[in-house]
Amino acid sequence: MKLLIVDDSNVIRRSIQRTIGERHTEVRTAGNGIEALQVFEEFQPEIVTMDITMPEMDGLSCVEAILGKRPTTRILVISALADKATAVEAVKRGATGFLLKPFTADTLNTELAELFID
Amino acid sequence: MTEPATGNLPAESFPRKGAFAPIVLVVGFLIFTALLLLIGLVNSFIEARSAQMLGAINLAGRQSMLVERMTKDLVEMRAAIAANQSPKVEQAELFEATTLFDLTERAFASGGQTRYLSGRVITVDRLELPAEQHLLDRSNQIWVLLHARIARSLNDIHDAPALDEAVRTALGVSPQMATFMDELSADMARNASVGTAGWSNLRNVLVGLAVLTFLIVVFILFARVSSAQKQLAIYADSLIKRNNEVEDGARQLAEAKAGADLIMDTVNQGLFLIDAKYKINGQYSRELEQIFRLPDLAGYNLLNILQRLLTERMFNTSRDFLALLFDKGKKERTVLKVNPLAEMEVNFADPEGGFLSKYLSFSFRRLMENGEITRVFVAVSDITERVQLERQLRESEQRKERQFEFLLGVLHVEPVQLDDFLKTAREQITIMNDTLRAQDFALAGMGQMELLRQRLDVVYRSVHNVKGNAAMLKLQHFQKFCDEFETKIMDLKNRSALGGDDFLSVVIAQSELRQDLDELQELRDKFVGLGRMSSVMSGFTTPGQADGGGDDLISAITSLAVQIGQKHGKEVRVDAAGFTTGDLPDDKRRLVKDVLIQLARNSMMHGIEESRLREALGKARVGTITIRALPVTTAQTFGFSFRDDGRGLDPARIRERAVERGLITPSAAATLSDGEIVGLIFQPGFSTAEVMTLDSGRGVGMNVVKEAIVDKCGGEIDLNSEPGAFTEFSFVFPLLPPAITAMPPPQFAHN
Amino acid sequence: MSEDDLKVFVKGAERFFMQATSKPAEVSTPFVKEDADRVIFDFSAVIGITGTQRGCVYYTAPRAMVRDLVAQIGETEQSDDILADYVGEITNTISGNAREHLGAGFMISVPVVFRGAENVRFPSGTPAFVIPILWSGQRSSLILSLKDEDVAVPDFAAREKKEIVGARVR
Repeated sequence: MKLLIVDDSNVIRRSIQRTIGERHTEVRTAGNGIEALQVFEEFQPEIVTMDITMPEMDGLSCVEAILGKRPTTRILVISALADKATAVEAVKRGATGFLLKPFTADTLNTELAELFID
Repeated sequence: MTEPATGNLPAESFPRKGAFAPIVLVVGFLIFTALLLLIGLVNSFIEARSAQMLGAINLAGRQSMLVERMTKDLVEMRAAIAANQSPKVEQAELFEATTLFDLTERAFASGGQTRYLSGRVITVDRLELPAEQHLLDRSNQIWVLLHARIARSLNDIHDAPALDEAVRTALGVSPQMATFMDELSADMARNASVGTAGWSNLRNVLVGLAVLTFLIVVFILFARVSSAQKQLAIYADSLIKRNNEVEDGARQLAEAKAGADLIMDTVNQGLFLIDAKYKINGQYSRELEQIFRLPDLAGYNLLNILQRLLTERMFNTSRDFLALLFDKGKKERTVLKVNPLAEMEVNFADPEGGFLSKYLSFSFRRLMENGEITRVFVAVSDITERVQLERQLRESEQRKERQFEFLLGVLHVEPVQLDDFLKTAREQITIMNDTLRAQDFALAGMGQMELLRQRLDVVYRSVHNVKGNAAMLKLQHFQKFCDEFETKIMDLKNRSALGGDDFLSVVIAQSELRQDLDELQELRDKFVGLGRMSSVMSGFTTPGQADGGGDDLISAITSLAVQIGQKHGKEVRVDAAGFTTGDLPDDKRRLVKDVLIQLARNSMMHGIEESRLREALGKARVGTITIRALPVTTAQTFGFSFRDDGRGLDPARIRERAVERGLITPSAAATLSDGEIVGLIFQPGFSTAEVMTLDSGRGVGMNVVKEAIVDKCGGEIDLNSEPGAFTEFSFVFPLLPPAITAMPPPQFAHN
Repeated sequence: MSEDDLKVFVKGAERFFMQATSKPAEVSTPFVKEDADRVIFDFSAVIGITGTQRGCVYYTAPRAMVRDLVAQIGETEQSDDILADYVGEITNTISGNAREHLGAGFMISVPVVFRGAENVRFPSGTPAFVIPILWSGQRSSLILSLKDEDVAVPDFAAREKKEIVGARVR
């Protein structure tokens, strides 16, 4: 399984990677929307985790762009509790799963598993 | 026959003959009818035969009658002729009888037709049986003879001998003939029944068959009817059973509904269903009406209800969310995770103006029917109380924290000093607010601006005062706050145009200051008794002087000066031997305190030099501030002096600054004496500080002092300075308000 | 309670006078209402605000002034009903201006009009700022009683600032 982690915090990227890494999944990362789309093009991951509370970049447009390229991509959107409006918008645009910050390794794993249960 | 819809009917109640019984019946009826027809035919045949036979028998019997008649006619004819009467009648009769007899004889002999007396024709079969034929032959023999004789007579009725012969013959043969004919008819009669016997048997058989058929059919029918009845009975039974079940079911349903109704009436949540158009659908719990504050919600659209209660932003989010709920393409789990209505503030219009704020919690559940999301189940609770309690808890915790921090910042302060500070600060705030509130609107245009600037000045001075007091008590929070406040005011002062609305920041800051002071007061009130203890423990005063007085003031001034000095590399000591404000009335005491604060700060900022510089200049490393009470001429005045051994006042610099600041024109600057120049430091806006820091003045310090002592109290200030050596201020002021005393202004005791 | 948000209301009042009358209004220095202050004039209207700030905004004016204002728009009838209605209208304008600037995170209620001062209540615990609005030599007041909303129900967020310490992943 190929996973793309999009988050502008290096700490988060690394921590997600550490959790997933146990699964022998191929992982790439991106720190902003432009990078994310570029990496997506060549890497073609099945799963993407996307932080939509990045202030520099519109996480929602990135979600839409990715789904436009490959609608079967499973996108796990990561958000902070306070911003419900963006969260709803993300699901509206096709995010498959949703995760609240701060999260634990267990929660992350559960959500990733759930991505494939229809 | 169609099979009845049964869940519970026993299978054996189905009639076995179900499928073919009707055919049997029909066939049976057909057979029966055919048989009847046959019987009828046979019967008619038999009847016809019998009739025929009967006819023949009658004819045979008639023959004998005819012979008698012939005889009678012959006799009567002779008699008639003998009497010369017409024998026509008898003749005719005789002819008729003869003809008939002959006809009948022939008919019997070879089959054929003959007649009744009525004229009706009848067909007769030839006599077959030998016995009958024999009889017929014998009668025929006689007849031939008789016939001939009669015929002769008929030919000629007046032939008497013929007639007599005929008569004789007739009389002679008729009994025999009669016997033959009777025998014939009897014999025919006997044989007739034999002849038809076979047919009758057939008929009887047929009748038997018919009856049998009939009975079979009847039996079948009967069997069917009875089985049908049985079936009917079974159906009826099962119908009753089902009815009972339905009734039971209905009753259970009614009970369940009553139970559900009870739940819906008493549950303290709003429970309802919405359809894909977000309309409230079907039954809902009564509490919902309370929660939404709307009676009779059937058919209401949830979105419309929400629109009135939410901000535009939250409404849009909620609307998007509801659309997601009904979108099959989105997983329910994910959608529910982003439920924005899980804790939502809603605002109902308050009829008395403004809003009634409540907090609601919505939870949702999809209902699937045939793989489609047809409706969504909604549960909503009013969580206002909980949220408000949480908030109160949070607020109260925050307040406790603040108060604790306050407390820490205040523990070192004597309660009396704290009270003083609070009182002074409040007074200043009142001054501020009164100034802002005052209505002098006679001026417009430039005058208006001037007015506003004046107000700014007043506010500034008040804030500065509070700041100074805070600094002295090391109340860092207030010191910092007032400093920021001062900055805001300075910003405003520097604007070229001022409007009333620019003062909003002022009034906001004032309000915050008020609130902070209130909190401090609250804190202070809690520690009424503590002050004594802490002051004893911290060694501030000896127990007897716990109420404070000059010592406390001087200690405070000392620590203020030392504190400022530490920040700037200056060392200082304060000598206030014999100086006390303990005898003064409160307001005057505070006045002195304010002045001392201002002077101490100025000294430390501008007067006393850095320790190293002092050493280099040959002065004592530690600077000295000397505070003394002044002997005064009258008992109702108070005087004191303040002196620092710092760098003194430099007239040249002051001159420069004053010109720079626009306080005097250059030409005026030239004409003023040094003494007058030095006096300029009491002008508002004057400060020789290069850098503004928390501790230094912004040019109003001395002006405030002047206003306080001279303008407000009617006192006097004396200033002496030697550049590089010292600066000394002397103050004298009356203890009573100037108006009350008629005394002349107080005099200094020294120059 | 930010100065800018408060200014929105003041601007709203200024705008009303600018547009509806030939003379602009002047804003004098605001002050904090103390218990003893009697700040309510003959006619007042109050609107409720809720959102990141919550509270009430009042506009109150004396009869003579409202009469003059009403005359400005050509209304000849000057019954109490008309006057009260117009005060509500003024307050509506103010709140309309507020809506524009405060945006979608606020709810602003319809004005409720009061006559006289007896029934007008101020929320306790929140300081009220009285802003004198002067027009044609007469004095009216805009009174703002607003407090910041605690982060009680974390919903009215502007976009959240990034948290670097977002994850506790083992």
